Amino acid sequence: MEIKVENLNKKICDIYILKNINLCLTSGSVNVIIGPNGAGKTSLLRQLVLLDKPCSGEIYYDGFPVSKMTNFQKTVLRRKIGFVFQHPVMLNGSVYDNIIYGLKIRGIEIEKNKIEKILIKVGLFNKIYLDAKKLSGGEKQRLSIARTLILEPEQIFFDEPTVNLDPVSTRTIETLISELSEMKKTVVLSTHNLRQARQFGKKIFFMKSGEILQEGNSEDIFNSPTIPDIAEYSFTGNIIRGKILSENGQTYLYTDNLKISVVTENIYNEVIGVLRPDDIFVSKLPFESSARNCFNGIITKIEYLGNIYILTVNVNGTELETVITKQSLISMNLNKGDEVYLTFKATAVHLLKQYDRI
Amino acid sequence: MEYIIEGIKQGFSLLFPPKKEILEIVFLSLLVSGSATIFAGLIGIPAGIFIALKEFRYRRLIIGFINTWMAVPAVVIGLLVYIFLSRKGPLGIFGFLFTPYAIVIAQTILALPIITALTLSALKNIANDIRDIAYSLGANRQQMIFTIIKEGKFAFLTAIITGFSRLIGETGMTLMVGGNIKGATRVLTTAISLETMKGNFEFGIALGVILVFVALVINVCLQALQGK
Repeated sequence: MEIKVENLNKKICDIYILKNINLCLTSGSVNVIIGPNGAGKTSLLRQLVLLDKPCSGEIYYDGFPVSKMTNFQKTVLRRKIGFVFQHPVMLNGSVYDNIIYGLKIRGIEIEKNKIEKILIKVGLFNKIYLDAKKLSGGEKQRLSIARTLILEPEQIFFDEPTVNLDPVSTRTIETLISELSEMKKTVVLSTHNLRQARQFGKKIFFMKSGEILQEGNSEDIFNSPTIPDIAEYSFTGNIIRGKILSENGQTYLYTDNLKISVVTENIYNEVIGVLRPDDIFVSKLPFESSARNCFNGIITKIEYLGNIYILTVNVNGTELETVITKQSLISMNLNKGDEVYLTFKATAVHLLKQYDRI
Repeated sequence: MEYIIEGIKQGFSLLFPPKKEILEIVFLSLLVSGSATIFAGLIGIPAGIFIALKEFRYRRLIIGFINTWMAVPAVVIGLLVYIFLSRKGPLGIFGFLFTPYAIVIAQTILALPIITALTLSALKNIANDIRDIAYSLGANRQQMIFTIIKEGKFAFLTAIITGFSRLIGETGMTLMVGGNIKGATRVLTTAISLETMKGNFEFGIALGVILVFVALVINVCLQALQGK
């Protein structure tokens, strides 16, 4: 089923919650919506699954406008859609009662082995007769997904399904999503988890302040964001603000205290450079290389992160972050306050034109 | 001190076996307050569900009105009902004043805001969530409303029981519109107040024991429901 949104607006008390949304969801694959808190992700999903009415604009299901649907048509459509809420709400009764709710409402015969199978899948089979309201947060979320999946919807919307969950529940839910993806179901996932966005997103939408600012595949969004908001949100790297100046055929990104070689054909007055931490090379002494940028600075912070360390280096007043392995840190014997050299290529700096929003 | 013990003894002797007059009073009390509770529930619960679910223009105003109404003293409601039902009043032609009907009307008006407000406050936080869940799992409108009623059934029972316990103990208003007529509008509370003033403590004590017993049953029911 093709889902399309045209010029959708939603206002609450004269404030735009969703502003001029236009999108077309890719059928049979995973669509991911990312964006900071309050971006309007939940509101957008609620409009898409017909729980709220937009103020203006239109949602089309297979070309048919939702606003022209009768209540009966809406019920028929809703029965083909699954929606997993961010905060799962359980109905009174046992886990079993919750699972069969949708089937009972549709008048579908209840098949015991199907219910058992899905409960085993989400790891709740031994809790089948327990009070659903007494389950833990993760169990409730897994149950609410099972409650939706047993209805075999054609498209499933997940609203931040793994927020606040423990790693085990998160993994179970991620496995279910990748299974749905393999089954070529249409999945819409809103999330803060950038790893999930990279892993599942065939198409990613970035939202902020009720608008979709960029859409594309994970390569587009994470490696070459067109707007600084995404670079800031997803922290793909160091963010350096400055302007571009040209000298002797060379282009430089000037900040208050740094002059960085960059590659660009455009001269911007206000620009943001994104520099990924793993593109910066750390050494104790300067060395000859083809990389055009080499700065010396003082280590101000060393953070341990699994098998890698994040070094914060103060270069002439600008703090740059870089990653280094545990082995390198030990073999170079780096400590806080040491002087190091940072080397990176001119092409490593990804330039974004300052996006102006009014 | 002795006359108190004597009164209690005689009071219990009136109950075991119970006198016909006492049985009549108990029966009338339960009938009148019970039917008033049912009427108030039939209006108040749907009204509470509606206000909890729907966003409409004067919603806040109506909630404020219900809360104010709940704070109005029973005698004021009694006064208004008396004025409306008295012979010169707009509803005088029915001749309801000093009949059990008048008590039922006044008690319904008294219990209505209590039941509506309790239903509303119990549903306020859950109604929208249940609506969303029911719709997202494929319910149509009727099934959605039925689900809300099913989810809220303990809250409704609590509202009903609270309303009933308020009514069974109501005295002043019931006396005003009912008139405490023997065999016609004499209920537990009005009988106690009359017999006490007449100095018939044993009769008052017998009725008081019944009233306490009713209160006990109500509270046991409430506890059992809240334990759920």
